[in-house]
Amino acid sequence: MSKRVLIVDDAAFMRIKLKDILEKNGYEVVAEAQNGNEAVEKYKEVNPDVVTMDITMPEKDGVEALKEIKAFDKDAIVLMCSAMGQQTMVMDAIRAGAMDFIVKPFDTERVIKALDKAVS
Amino acid sequence: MEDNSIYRDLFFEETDENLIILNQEVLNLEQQPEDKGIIDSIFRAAHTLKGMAATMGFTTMASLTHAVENVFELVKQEKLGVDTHLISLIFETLDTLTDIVEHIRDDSEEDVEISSLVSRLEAVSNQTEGELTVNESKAKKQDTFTYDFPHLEVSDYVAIESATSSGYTLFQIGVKVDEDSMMKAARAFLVISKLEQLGDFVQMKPSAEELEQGNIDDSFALYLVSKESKEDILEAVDGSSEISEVWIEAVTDAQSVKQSSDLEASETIEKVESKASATTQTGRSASRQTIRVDLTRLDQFMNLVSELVIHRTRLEDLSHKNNVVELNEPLTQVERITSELQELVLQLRMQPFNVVVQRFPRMMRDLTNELGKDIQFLTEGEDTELDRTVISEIGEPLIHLLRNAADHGIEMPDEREKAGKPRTGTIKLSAYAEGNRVIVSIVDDGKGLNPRFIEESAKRKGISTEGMTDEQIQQLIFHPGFSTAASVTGISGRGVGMDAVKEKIASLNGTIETTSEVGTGTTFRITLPLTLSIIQSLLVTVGEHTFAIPQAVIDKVNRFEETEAISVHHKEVYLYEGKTIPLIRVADVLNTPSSEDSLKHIIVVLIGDNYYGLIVDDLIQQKEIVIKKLGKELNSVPHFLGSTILGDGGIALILDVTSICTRKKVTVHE
Repeated sequence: MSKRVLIVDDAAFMRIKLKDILEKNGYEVVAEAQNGNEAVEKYKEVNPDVVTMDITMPEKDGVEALKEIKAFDKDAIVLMCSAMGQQTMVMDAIRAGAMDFIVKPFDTERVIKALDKAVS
Repeated sequence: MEDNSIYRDLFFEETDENLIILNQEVLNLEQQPEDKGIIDSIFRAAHTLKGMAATMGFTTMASLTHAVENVFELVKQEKLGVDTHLISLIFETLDTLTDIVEHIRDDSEEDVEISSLVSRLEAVSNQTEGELTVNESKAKKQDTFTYDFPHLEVSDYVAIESATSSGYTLFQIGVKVDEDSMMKAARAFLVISKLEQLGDFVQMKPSAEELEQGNIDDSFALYLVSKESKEDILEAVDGSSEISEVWIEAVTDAQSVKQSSDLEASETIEKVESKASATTQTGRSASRQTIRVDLTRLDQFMNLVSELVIHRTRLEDLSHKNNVVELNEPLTQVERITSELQELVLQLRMQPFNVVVQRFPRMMRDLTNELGKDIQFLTEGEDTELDRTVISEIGEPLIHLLRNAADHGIEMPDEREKAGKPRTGTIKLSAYAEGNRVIVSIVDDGKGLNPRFIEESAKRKGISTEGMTDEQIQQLIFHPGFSTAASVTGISGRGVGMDAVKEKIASLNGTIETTSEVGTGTTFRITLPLTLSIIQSLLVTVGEHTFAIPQAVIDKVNRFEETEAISVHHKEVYLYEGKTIPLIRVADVLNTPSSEDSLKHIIVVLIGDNYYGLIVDDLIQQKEIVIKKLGKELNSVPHFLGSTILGDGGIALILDVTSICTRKKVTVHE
């Protein structure tokens, strides 16, 4: 059975792009969220196998959302999506329990590799 | 491919950008074949191109970039040296890539033939691969030693001993991050935070602090004491992406570590150096960060600001006329803000000269090789900013001039030596701002424009040179349909003459002139307007008309008495700061009656190196005006830059002072 993914990103463009990449590679995108609050809600609602979490988002950022998801489910597998130059934020996320991270702009090969590794 | 259509624009933008980087960096690499930063940057750009092409499904482009990437992978690993042959091959590949991109852009099939190029690139890679197999065992051994293990202190040994005696094992762990991975420090941090859950770190290199600051090469190394097995540790770390190798070994004898870590001390120094260069590299690319803006939006913005300025001026006028005092304060604010907006939008439209220049070194290199000449190409003032319209149009004439300089100007090395010149010729392209104009010059130290040759050629073409001075004869190269080349080469003389260059520059409101000395060299001087839209101006009246004079050319304004006009050789001159300068009566030039009774003023302007005195009637005020171009129908009317709308809704013509002051020369020429 294909793995169920929750995509979190405030930019619709990135969500479409990522969804496209994932679905072409056998993942099932079960929900999308466009900010941290929505991410936490959706996580509780759909209980996905893996989450791709953008870092910079309005209302609640990705690192905060990651912490709340981890508090709710300590085994949650969360991959951070970061832009270049957000190294400090990425390190914060790793401290908070992020499984891995992918750097934008997305390279299909890398995204899939990271996800495959994360869910294995 | 259809699903990707929305990314097309982005794809082309980034592809163009990466191709420019590649061309530039490969050129740099030829000069500094050892520079790691350059090699890295080439590798990155090639890799990005490959990734994008593959994502978009452009297989031809992907396989070609893949082949280039492979070659640079070897260069990066120092398994392949950089020589002229390799550089030329890479340039050829870049040209083909550019072709492919153009094909894709035109929506035609990717039908560029690449198989021979790919096989040549592969031959380069394989050639070293062959050598590699011979040295494979040696190379592998070296791999293990590339990890730069930290030094262990005496206290560390104590800790290790007490740990191992209570069932812990000491592991030596080396981790390599994918070379092209972004945010290597965060990658390392990820692995380290996973290892941290399995045991305790004894020492780590780079240190945790260094990692947090982002200081890391492609690898890091550490000592870990853990109760877990080697396999469990490997598995924990394996879950992270973009890690190319994890090397792990249980250490039974802590003292043996001590010796090997001493051995590596000398290597450490090298690492530090390469790290330093890598840091400057990232610093450079970070400072280049920009946001892309659609050009049409920028133009729209510009237009809106122009409109705003016009209406602000009208508002000011109304408030003034009706004496509405309460409006003064808000109007001042509006004025301040619109001025700032104007300045900003002007800056937005400006682009550095470098945008044009960056493609020339490559072109000059190819030309030099093609012609078998020795040419040094220098550039200066790449930071000089010009309106983007000018920037986008000036490239073509400059290419023509540069090609001419290389082909016809610079002599063959032997010929130069005989003439007592250095074998290497020099062509220098420079740009600098002068008042509200930018001067672009191309100077070569070649054989110069020989007036005799030009004269002869002119005669053959039926152009009369009667009574012309040598300088005037040299200007004939701008005459339509004139070419001095004895034979038409592949490089210049393709039928597009210097007259086309002149015309193009004139269409940008610029001028071009040449000075040349036989045997010494030729200089082309192009004068271009800095911006085309909003200028500070002085409003004046001549008779019943109002005219605007661009402030930037004005040196001084004085009252003028008729007695101050001195007649010399049937020409009127004026004494200005001890020098006589030509007097120009604007009313006469424009054929409009001047008012007899009003006081006259003289406006001293500086054009190039010369002063001129313009006589006008009255001065009205200084004002910022928006240049509205005259319609095409009025193209043939000389002496005006355009028109502007005044506060009261009236129209004023903007005087083209350069054209007015140099008008006499023009009539002599024609």
